[in-house]
Amino acid sequence: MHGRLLLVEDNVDLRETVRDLLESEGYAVEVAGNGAVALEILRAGCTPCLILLDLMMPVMDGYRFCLERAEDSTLASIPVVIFSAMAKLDASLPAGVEKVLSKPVSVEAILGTVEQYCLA
Amino acid sequence: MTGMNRDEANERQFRAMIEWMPQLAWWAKPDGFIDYYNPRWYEYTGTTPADMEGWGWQSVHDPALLPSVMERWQHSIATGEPFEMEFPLRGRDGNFRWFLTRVSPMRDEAGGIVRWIGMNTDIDDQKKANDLLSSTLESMSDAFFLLDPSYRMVLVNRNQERVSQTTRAETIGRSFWEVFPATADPASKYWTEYHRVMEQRTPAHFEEYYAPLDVWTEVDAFPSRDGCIAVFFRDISERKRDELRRAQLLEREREARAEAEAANRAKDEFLAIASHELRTPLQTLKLSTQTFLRSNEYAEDEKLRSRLVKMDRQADRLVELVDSLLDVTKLGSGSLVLDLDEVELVELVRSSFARHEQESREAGVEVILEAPSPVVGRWDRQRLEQVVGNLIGNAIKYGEGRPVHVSVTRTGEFACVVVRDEGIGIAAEHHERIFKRFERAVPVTNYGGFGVGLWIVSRWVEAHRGTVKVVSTPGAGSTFTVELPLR
Repeated sequence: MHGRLLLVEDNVDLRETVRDLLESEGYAVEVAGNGAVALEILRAGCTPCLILLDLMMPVMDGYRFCLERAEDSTLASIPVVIFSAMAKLDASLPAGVEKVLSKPVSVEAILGTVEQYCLA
Repeated sequence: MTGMNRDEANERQFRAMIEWMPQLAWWAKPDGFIDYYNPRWYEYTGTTPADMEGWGWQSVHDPALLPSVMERWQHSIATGEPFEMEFPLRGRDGNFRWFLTRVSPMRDEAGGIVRWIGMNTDIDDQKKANDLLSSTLESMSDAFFLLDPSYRMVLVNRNQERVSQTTRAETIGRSFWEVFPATADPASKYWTEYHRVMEQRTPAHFEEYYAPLDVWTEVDAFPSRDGCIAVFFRDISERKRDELRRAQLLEREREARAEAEAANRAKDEFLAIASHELRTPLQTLKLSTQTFLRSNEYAEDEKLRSRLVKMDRQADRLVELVDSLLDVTKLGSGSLVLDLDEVELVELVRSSFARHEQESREAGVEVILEAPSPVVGRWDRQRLEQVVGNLIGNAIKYGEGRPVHVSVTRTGEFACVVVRDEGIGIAAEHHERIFKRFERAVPVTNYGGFGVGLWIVSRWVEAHRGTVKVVSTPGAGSTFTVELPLR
């Protein structure tokens, strides 16, 4: 059974490409262009098996999103995987992060990671 | 009065007093004719009353000084002015001693001179001490002056006169603050330090600028036993100006360095952000081509697939270039963190061969591996892939189509990777330089790249506490040898 995941990424082309890839593999994908939109979607009742999170984004960046998530007990249990090029620059990652996919990564790496969390 | 008048009684008392006083003493008639010397005089000079009577005293004077003594004495006789002078007198042993001689007129009620009373006080010891003191003071290279408890100048030497551009006649007996008004200022160290020495009786050492003469002075001031302070100082303007010039130079140098560092930081920051910004579009590109390649839709279209493979490979090449951009900033900032793991080096070199397959085929270069047995150590896999990849990439690039030999061996506690080409080679004068950042031994118009490949190699090899060496002859090829401790 394929799960539903939330992709938070501000680059539209990349967001659509990842969504196409994951949907073609049978996953349901919610998308958000920044942390604030992602929080809205989550608080509207969406409970994904995984959040794929970019770090550098307008309005609310990935770091801020992680802080907000940690303070909300219903969201704190949802696993987060960072999907960013920042990880290469900066060793200090937000708390509660499960894993880092450092851009650019291969299709296999993305699918392998998503499978870990979203294949029941 | 019994038998004697008052004057006679006075006269006798006076004579008795003079007779027994410790100084040499005498008296003379109004015209200067001496008719009495006390016993101390005869005792000192070893003369007799007959020798001395009248003008006989001239025989105990220094002939060289006698004319000036005579002139002064005649002047007093003529004018009635008291006489005071220092000159030497010969003793019975033939040696001269210095005396201070004072002669005062005694007058009658009408004011006429009755007689002259003369007294010679032995000042020889004092004079010699003074001579010693002044010759000491004058031979000092320091300027010197002595201040009494009310800051009056009581003694100065010639250097003090020279440096302060004053004469002793102008300064002796006057207050220091009055002679040098610029120092009478609580902000001046001269003021604070001299007061401190005077009041606390502890020495002082300081440097201070004296504006009126544009002079820098270095001063030592000491309390002396009689409540005075002795001040020694020297003109250090030249040294000060040198120091100032040096300090200014140093400051300019520091500023230039800070500027260069700031520019360097800005450049590193720019490269870091640029490499980050380049990554996201590359991710999109790679995912798109890979998704295409995965889908069954175009499985039969060989032409399209081959184009997609090229796109993917070029995207990989771009990723590598962006990585080396980031490495330049990381390696330059000195924060090298290794992610150590068990690594089999022969396998790592083989996979590097595979990545360079296309490149070597196009360059017509055969890459030959010699590795008798696996070599295992604890290293950072990703970094060693870079090291080996850069060396093999260079060997292919500069190999002129001739074979490249790579060997992996183990010697004791070290792994050794040798990459040898038979290409253009590197002139000896470039051997050191090529391991530096942005350096290249060949023109960029013939051979592209960032000029950081070997620098990255040497930095990561050093981070592993290994060494990298080059042996090369222009036209005959290059051999790079990397030695890594196994740990």
